[in-house]
Amino acid sequence: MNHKNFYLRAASLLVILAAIAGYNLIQKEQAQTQELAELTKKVTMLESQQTELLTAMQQAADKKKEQASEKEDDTKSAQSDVDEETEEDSSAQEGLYVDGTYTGEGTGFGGTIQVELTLKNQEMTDIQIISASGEDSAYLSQAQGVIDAILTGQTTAVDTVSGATFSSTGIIQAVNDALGKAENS
Amino acid sequence: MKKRQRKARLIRAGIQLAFFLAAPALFSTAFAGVKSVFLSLAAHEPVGWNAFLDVTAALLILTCLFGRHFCGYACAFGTLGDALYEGTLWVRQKIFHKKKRHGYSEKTIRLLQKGKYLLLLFLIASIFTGWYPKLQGMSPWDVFSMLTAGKLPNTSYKIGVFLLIVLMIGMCTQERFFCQFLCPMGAVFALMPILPGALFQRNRSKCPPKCGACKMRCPAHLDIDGDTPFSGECICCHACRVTCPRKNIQIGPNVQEASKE
Repeated sequence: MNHKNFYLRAASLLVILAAIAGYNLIQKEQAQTQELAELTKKVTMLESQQTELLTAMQQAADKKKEQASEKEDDTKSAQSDVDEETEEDSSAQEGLYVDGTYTGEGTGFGGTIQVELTLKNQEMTDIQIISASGEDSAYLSQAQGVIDAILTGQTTAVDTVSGATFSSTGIIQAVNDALGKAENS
Repeated sequence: MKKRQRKARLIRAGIQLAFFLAAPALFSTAFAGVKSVFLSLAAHEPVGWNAFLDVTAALLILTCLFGRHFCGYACAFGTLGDALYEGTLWVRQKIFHKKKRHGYSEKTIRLLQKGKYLLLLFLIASIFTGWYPKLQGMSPWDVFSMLTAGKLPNTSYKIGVFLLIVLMIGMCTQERFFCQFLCPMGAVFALMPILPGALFQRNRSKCPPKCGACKMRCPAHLDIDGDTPFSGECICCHACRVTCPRKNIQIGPNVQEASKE
């Protein structure tokens, strides 16, 4: 009546889980130290930039003083042309896309995926999956990682989610389809 | 006695069919969770939780508490294997008049059962060496999942289709061929610490000498006796329980109590 095998397996399972937890802790620490190192690097860089700027300003001020004392007499020199602020805003106003809400379709694993894309001020602000009847729920929720990637990157040229390649490809396709409809013609 | 067996088999077939129709992707989802852990490790990223691991964790916890009933009753790939084996059995009986349940010898089965651990190690190794993406299109599970999702695999899945056909032929030759010999998720399940109270126990004192009907009937030819080195191989098909002519086999500690009386 000894459960030798059970205890052995339970112990190994605990060891594996503990190893993963330990690994995660180390990863977290490493990420933090890396972040810290990057931040200190940034700070020192900014500091050196600041001193550089300050010295440059000082020098410039000194130079100006010198020049001012030298060229006090010939004040009226030729004023150069400063007319370059007229032809720029016309293209930005039209834009590539027309704001609004669009639906698009893509092919996922087991059928069509429909998404609803919202564009505001030329930017993708929201992507909702309306229907994905052919997708397995676990795969679909995993694949929704691409939505965040698309929204933060403001591009559909993002990597698919490993393990949910079909569903995430379908979502990307659907967003592309919706973007096509939003295009300014 | 035959009636009891038939009833148990019909109930099991019904449950299997229901799961096959409702959730044919559970087994591959569970393995996707296992894979995701190793993919994170290989990429030197922290291991995060995801939707696959929900399924993996739920199935592993259920297995630890109640044994591998998922494998015996809910796994769609196991159901496919059962359907093919029982179909072959039916053909053998009707056409060739062979009554015996065909299959491999105990020795062969013990040897082949190690195959699933090798396959699991191979898949993990391929994840760590980075050539796992090259295996795309080779997975018979992907092909099976596509077919259950009502989608025809394209030409990039040639190898996967071929392997699935080979597996299906294998499934005809031995009950639970894939589950025992090749299933990488089965390897994970078989390594789980299943609570001794959830294992099949046999009241040996009541067994007639040289009966062995349970071991003969067991798809893995297991010596049913609670916690043994091979008890992880039990997929909880309950065939031994309904086969035993003296009803000596049960899940849990009831047998012990009965023997004390």
